[in-house]
Amino acid sequence: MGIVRAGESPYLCTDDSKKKVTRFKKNKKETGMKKVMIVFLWSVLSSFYNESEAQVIRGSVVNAEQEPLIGVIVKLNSNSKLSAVTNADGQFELNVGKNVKYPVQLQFNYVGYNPYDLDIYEQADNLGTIVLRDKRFSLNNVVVVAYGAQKRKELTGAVSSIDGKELVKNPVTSLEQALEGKLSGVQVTQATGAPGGAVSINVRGTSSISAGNEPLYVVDGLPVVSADLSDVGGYQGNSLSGLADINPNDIASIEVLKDASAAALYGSRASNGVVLITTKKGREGKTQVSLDSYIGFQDIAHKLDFLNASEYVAARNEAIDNYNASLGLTPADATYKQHVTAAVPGADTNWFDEITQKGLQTSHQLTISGGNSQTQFYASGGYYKQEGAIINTGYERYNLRTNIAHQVSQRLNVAANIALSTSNTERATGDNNIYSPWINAISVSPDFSIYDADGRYANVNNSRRNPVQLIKEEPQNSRKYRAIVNLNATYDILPALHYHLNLGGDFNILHERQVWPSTSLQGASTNGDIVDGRAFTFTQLAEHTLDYSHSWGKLALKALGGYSYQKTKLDNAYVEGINFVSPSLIYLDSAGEIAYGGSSAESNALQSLFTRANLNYADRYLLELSFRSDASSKFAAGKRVGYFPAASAGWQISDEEFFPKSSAVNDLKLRASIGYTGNQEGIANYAYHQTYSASSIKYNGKSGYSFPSAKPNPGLTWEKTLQYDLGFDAILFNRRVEVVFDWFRKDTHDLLLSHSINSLSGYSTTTSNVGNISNSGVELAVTTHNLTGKFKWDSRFNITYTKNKVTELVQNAQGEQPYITTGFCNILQVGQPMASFFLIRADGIFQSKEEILAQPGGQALWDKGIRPGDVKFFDKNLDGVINSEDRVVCGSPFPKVFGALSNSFSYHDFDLSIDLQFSLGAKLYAAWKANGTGAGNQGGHANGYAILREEWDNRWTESNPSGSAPRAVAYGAAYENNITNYTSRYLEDADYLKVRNVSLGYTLPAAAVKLLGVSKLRFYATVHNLYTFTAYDGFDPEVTLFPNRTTYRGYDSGSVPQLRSFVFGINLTF
Amino acid sequence: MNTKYIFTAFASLALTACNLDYNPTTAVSDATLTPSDYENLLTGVYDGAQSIKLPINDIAADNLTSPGWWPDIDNNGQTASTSSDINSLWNSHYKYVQLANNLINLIDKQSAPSAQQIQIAAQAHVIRGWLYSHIAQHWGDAPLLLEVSDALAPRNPEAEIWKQVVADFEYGVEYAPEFSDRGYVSKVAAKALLARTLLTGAAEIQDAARAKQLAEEIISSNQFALADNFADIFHAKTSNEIILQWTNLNGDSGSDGWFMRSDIVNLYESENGAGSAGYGEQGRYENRVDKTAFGIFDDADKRKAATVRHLKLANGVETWDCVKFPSYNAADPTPVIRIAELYLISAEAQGYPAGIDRLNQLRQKRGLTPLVVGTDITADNFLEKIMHERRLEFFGEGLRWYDLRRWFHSGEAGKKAVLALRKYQPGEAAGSRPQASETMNIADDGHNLLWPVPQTAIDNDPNLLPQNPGY
Repeated sequence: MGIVRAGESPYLCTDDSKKKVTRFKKNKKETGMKKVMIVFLWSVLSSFYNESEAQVIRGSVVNAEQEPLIGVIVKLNSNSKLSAVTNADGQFELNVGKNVKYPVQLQFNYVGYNPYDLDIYEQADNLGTIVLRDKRFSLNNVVVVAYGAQKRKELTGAVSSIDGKELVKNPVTSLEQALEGKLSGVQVTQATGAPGGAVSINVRGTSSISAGNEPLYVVDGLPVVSADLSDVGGYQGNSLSGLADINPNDIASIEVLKDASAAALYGSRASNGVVLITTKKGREGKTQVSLDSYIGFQDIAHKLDFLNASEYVAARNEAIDNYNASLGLTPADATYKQHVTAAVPGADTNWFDEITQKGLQTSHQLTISGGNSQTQFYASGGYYKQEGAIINTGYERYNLRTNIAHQVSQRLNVAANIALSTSNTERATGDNNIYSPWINAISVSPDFSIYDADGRYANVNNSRRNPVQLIKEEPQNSRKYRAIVNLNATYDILPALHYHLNLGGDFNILHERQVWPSTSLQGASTNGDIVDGRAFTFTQLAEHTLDYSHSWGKLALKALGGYSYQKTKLDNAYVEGINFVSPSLIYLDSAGEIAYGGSSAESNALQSLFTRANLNYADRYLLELSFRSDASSKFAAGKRVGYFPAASAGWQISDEEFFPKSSAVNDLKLRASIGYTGNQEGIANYAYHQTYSASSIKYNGKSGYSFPSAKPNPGLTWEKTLQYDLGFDAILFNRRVEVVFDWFRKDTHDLLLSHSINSLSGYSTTTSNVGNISNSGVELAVTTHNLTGKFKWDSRFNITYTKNKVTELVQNAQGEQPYITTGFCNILQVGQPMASFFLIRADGIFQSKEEILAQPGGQALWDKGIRPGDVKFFDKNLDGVINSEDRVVCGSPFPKVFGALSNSFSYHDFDLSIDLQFSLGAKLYAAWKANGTGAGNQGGHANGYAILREEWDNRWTESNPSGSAPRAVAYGAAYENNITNYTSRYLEDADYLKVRNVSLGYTLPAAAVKLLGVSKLRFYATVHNLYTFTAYDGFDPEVTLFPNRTTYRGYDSGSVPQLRSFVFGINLTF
Repeated sequence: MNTKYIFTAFASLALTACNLDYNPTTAVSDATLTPSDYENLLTGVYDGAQSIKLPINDIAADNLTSPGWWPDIDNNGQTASTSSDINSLWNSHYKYVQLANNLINLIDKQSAPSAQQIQIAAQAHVIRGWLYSHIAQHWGDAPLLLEVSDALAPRNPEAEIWKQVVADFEYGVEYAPEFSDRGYVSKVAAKALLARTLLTGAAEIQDAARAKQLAEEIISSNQFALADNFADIFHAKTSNEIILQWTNLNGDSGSDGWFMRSDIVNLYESENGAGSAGYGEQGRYENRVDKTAFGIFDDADKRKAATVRHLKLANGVETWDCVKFPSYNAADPTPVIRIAELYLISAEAQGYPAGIDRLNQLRQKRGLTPLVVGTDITADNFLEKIMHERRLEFFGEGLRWYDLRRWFHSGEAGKKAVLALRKYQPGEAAGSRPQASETMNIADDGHNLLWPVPQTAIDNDPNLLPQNPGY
């Protein structure tokens, strides 16, 4: 008889394995989606014995290299005491006695290998050779791809995946955290450590200026809303993640589709990659109940040290002395400055400590799953709570998920996946806002007190606000209610032809409130100000697909065709009330006046056709062709349809006859792909319509019509990216090393760009498709199994190098392509990386009078009071004046190289993992140090802002001429010079190495577990963000002000850093 | 069997929706616009006119200062063509001109426009003329566009623009509605604006005699009268002094309220004595009265207390504010033209000595003594006295810059007088607000009495070259 293949994933139901299990049936209970076992069974099923004879079942067990496995436990049924162990040749004999009743089940268990259960339906004395698969190799795993699943072995595109089990083992708090450092080519940047805050995820660089750079997220086949929906809160400089509602504990796997071949089936939304999230499903068999819980706390790992009150006053006076001395002033001069004293005698406030806390973090999840052959279910309830690092902030989430699958008939299967969640984020006014408690806390000088003599919040220096008052008196919160629902059905029209229906909806309700009572700083002028806003976002999907498979000898074909329609509706309303009767009445009922109210609604829809064909010849030659056409309501009728073709090929070269069989290269596949993807995010829903808007057009109490500010462009279309990928997957050195390598290039053209136009037309800007950006790079992921004995040590390493360049921008009437300013200090310029820093270059510190006089206009500088110790700037145009005309390109906010290294160890029942993550080559503008824009002017060492100890200790003095910070000077031209904004003096390297995760676990041994009556119990302790090695002066080099704006990057106005958390947890399964 | 039902239900649900034609919900599109929308378009034109910040003409000149809001305008001597202030003013003026053009063109295209539609068009004409008068005075030669178009346009000579201004106002005199609400353009408002234009526009269209005649017609009609209480003009919402005003109601877009909101700072400062939180010594960014301008008012002048205020706070900080438009929430209107101006137009148009009567009538109403012919006022200083009176009367109302410009070009004496004006006395100690611009910085050639054409506009339309001299 031939080879019997068993144990395929339920995703591969068309495989031939199903037909051949009449005699040996794989028990579904143990079939994990990723846990695919292939058993080559050399059947010798010839003998039929007399029933009364005692029966012995024989066989041998080997690994994939055909090496015998010694010590494999072979057990008869789970409740029987009969078992055997394989000998030195891998052989076993199991005496099953006389009265054995078929069917029976043999269970094979071996440490480090996937367990395997074999159902035997009739008598057999020799099972032949059974192959157990090493757990660690993923090549035979099934990966979820666009509209289906494929064996990794058959994959021709670039797809990275994460197994959901990892997410429960070392808990992650969000989907984004799950992706952090795990995958090559995927860069995750946490914008802020504020709970529930937004995160930026870039797959293979940044390929868009204004249409967004975030990937498309698809949960169980439903593209979901991932944008930051918080309008009101967003305005306050504090964004919320649109993905925070997804409970990471419910995720079975995450796949990131990186190249065009993998992503092109998502067409006009795929340029930034696609993240496919598959949730856990129930399985046939005994009902499993599990509890995953942890509790811990979070804090800020790295605190900044500021001068205390007396040091601060002394520092200011040194700066005043220097000022007087530089200009030769004596007390008789009108401009002579006297020494200062503490603003509030005796006060010494550490503002930072006053508003921060150690926050509780806890999560509990109860899961029940199971089912019979007809119906399987998975149900979970989760609770997560996190207190922020800033007092009065926090995040709390409740999740409920039910996934049910039911076989209606032989041909019809239906399933429903329903996820409900509600969360509440207690927020503080965020970055880049003068009312941010955090930013005020790191800039208010220590010589003020929190409360005045009457016990009221005291005023602080003129330019700042009392941080404690800000956080205590201005509550803001965002509540979210969300349902992600889908229903699907599969109907087998023919054995090889299946129809699949997918209906889904993602409902988002956001309710935001911002309260500024009359006693608060912001609410004082209007006698209280309360904003109450609601946003409803609803997206619905209907999708029909047909898939077909057929083989002709060694040639196998899989084909897929589908139709999809997705509609999204947004609905917003908000009301602002002022003149409140009392500061304690914080609902609009008590508003004396409704200052503003408004609402709006928008819709868009996408109608698509797609098809894909996979050809596989002898598992050696693989070809995939795909094509999608998208019609979007965002474009005018003639411009509506876009086409996104892709092709990819794979060659399993190691299976060729000519390929040398060696232990050095066990397996090698070459891959290549090319294709088009698009990007239509960021295009307003009605951008092509010529309209008159009534929004905010009001005269004498009557609404009227006006032109919108941007000229409508009926020719608008999506951005297109042509992507190439070349790569290989290899297994090396006796299967100890697994390597995935890719080179890629993404050329994006038709970039959407808002640019100024001839304003005589009545419009000053328009958005059109102009400009090109190119990204290229290499990615490498290496998995190694360093030790495989009792003490196991596995490593995973990934590294990505990317290069990004703007290659074309909009032309002005002179035919030039001038640079475009996109952020405080970011520009787009042809030939430079995206969002390059454009700053006045600081060339160190003046060391001598001669050096000052050698500057353009040096004598004038000297006369104004510039002295050794002051900052020297590069005067590009040699005009003796340092201003914005002297700016030069100074680097990129995006890293050149990033990656991660994780090591996991296990010994007996202990497991330990250590994850490191690194980033190199990015720069960060430390705006929190600069004057006026950020938190303070540590650079000036004076005038009412807190002073960073490190800056102070590094200041230039005659005895410390190598100091990197300028001298202290309080007033005048030297002071102004030293605090000049937008200079590279504040631009720092953001390189880092983070100890992202350290986790130690202990699983109770089987005997102990049995005693407790449970099936599994594991304890663990995890530290997240343990330590960051970096030269960056701020809290955290991994921050960004606007996570969703790739053109406004690398700007740290004093963001809340990522928090360090210590948690202790259990995984318990009954 | 039930399989079939489920299947059918799913399929029918899924196949129903496949619409891709969505229309905006917060705007009307060109295709769906009907004549009943013309009134709404006119409201949009008014909204545009209301958005023009008239006090910038006092900030650019020697009355007000605004280091925060309009630093480039405040500092106009150093203004570069790349100034975003200048660019946004250029853009907004042309945007509103095009809004008016659009409406005028739509009504012109009607084969038989109704009487009401003609009245709507007439109001749009007058607002367009008013906008063009600002464009001509700020930029001199500038594109004269009468139809909505994207076409690149060259600059037309300033005189051509003035001719269009006259034509638009004449159209208003003929077809605008009769006066009923001073918040809307009327025949008499058009007539008043025409009188102003004939006196103050380019030499090619100047007609002092007609200006005088129109002014006298309006004065003698007794439809409007000088107010007894000067402050009422600005705070009574509907003062009989005013012929045309932008209403600035609460909730209106583009109202000038915030722009002139000077009192907030003082509330803060006087309450806690510590200066307004977050703004340091510069104070918040509202406009302030130039310190030297504060001294131009006689104590007897009823206008003084209703125009300027000097506060010395407990912490020693001093502020000088314009109180004509005190607060964001007060919803006080912006006067566009009022009867007092027609007194001064008539006076100036009649010249020395015939015009002195009208001048003195106004002065007396404001609590000042009449000027004595031959001693207080002579042929030589007649224009200077008129200009001074206009400054006192219209302080903060957006006329000062234009007056300086025509005064500078009125002859050697005028030029000398304008160059002598300074916001600050040189050498005056800084430290007290305002502090942005130390001087008004009028160049000897007067080039900065015109603004540069914004560089962005030139980049997008090279036909706008050459740039104004001096930039």
